Amino acid sequence: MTGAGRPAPYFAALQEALPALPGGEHWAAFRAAAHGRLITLGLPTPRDDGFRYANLRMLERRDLRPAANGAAPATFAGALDAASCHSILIVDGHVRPADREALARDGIVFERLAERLTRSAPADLGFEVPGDGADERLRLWSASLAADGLLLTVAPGARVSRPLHLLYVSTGGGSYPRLQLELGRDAELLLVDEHRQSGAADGIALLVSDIGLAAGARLTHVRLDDAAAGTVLLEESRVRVGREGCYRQNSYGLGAGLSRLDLAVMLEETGAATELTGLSLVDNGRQAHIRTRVTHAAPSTTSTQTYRAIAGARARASYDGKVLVASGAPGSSSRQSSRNLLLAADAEIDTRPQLEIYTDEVTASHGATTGTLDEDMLFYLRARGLDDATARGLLTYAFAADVIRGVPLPELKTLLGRRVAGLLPEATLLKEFVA
Amino acid sequence: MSDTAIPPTVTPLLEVAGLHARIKGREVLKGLNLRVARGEVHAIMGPNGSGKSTLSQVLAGRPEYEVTAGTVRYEDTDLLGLAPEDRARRGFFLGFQYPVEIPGVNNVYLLKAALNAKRKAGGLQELDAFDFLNLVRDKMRVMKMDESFLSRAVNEGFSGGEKKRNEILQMLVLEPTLAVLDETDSGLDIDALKVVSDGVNTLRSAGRSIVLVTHYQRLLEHIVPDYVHVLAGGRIIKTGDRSLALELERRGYDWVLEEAAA
Repeated sequence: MTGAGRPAPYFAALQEALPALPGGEHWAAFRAAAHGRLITLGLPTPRDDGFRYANLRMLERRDLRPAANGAAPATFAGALDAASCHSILIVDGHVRPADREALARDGIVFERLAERLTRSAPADLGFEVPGDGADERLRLWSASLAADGLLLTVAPGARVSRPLHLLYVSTGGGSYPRLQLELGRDAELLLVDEHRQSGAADGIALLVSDIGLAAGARLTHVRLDDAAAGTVLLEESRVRVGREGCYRQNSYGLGAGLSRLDLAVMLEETGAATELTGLSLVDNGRQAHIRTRVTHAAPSTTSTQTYRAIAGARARASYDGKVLVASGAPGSSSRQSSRNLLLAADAEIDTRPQLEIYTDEVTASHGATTGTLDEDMLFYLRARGLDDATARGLLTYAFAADVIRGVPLPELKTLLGRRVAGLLPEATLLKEFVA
Repeated sequence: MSDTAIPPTVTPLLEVAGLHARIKGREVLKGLNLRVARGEVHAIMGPNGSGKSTLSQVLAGRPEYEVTAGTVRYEDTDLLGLAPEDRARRGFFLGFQYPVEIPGVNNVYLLKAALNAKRKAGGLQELDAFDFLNLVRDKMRVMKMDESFLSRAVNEGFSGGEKKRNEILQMLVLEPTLAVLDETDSGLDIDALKVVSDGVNTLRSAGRSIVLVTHYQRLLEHIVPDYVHVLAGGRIIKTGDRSLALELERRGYDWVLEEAAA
């Protein structure tokens, strides 16, 4: 039996929201089961392993109820030029109409969860009630409110010519979108997830995504978090990579009151690969947390992780990355690099690269550094006539430059460069450098 | 003497008087005096630990060094009262003994930012990209540097000799009024020493002064100084001409130290 204890007030509010959610009795039962288990377990706390850096206690004071589908803007300008990509807008977790025909021409089949759940049971769409581990709690929370999201498949062999831009906008209250994405054999796609807020919102968005790559499929997944200081952005992402497939993620955290990405990549078959890159840029009390778990489950699988964080005044960032090489994965290689830059005395960055190996014949390395700007470099630049603020800006930019260089889209590269440079008080010279 | 023509006062470009400086609580400069007039080339030699690099760093304004007494006049200003970047913008240049590698900062960007900061401070327009690149290419030819230097990060992966060449390239582009070159000759093979010296010599002019801080007199075969000073124990204890450097090479420093102690 679940739900025996008295639910916390924030869960009681969620319970009230349940009857209004769409779908038949299968869905009601599914949500109730998830909700019941969530009430028993409660929200994760810093005592839970995956949440030691990202403290979600603040959520207890928030209105977590799902926001209604309504008042929000029909269009929203994101970081990409709408004409150059396939674009789907998701407002407060509700998927807006998109050009299905244009998507289909490029081999992408797109369905809305809100439409499918009127005729399909949760199990038919691959939805299961999550278990009761600490790692599952955010998934339980999402499952208890699952109402809309994107169900996407890319046809085998399709090379999608234009980026697929998913623009998630929060206007306040709770958003609980889902993403299911399956790439067929040898399919290729550039996916850009962008998380924004509209107005001075204090919304909370929890995105749960499940991504599968069939043999030979290649997905480049760019994530951009760029929201107001009051916004909480949480993402639980699971990726499965098949034989010779490659999942590449470039994640850029430019701020939110608190953002947390929990990414699990399973390299399931021989030759599967993943390349994970991230840059977190936080100041003024903001927080950006990244947790990764990469499992090498098959022979000759490879993973690289390159994470950089820059934290200014009262800001916090973390990288908690674990690589597990299973006994059935000889010939695998793994590399983890976490470099961090503290720009203020009251900034905090935690980094914890971990490696567990259960087989021989593995190449694995990991390294982590956290420091401040190099005084020798600063003096060198000042001795050449650059003022202190510009010199600091330039070195901060330089710290992030190797990650920014790898940004797959020019407009994103420019945006990121300017944001890194713009962190600094007097960056006139830098703008020229970045442009 | 009722003539209205007042004889030009020969104010030196740089005048260091009674300079005391310390780092981490240890006093390194102990009453150093030095006058450098416009157009002159001075060499400062001395045993290890005598304070040569400290002098260079203090003149450039390195924050870790604390000046406890003395004055430094440069042109008509109190040099010690200026931030490092303001010294650079007024035409002071330090050629570093150990030029630092700065990954991610492009060499040409730094050159351009440095030059424009100086031009702006002098009330000049910034150079446009075309004129700037032409200027840099000219100077790179003098330094026999490869085009690839343009696209590389500041000193990153440079050999010791390449770093020193890059310092002199920066100097040629910035055209300082006073250049202090801290052991610019160390780590150079004969060919590189020649290129670096030729580069420095192209800048010699009546309005510009150069202070060479060096261990070895071989640099002075290529850049012939007007004065040679011996720095020991944080003070200049002997001053001579070019022949003093030769004598130091032949006889070492002991005799100067003994002479000074007597």
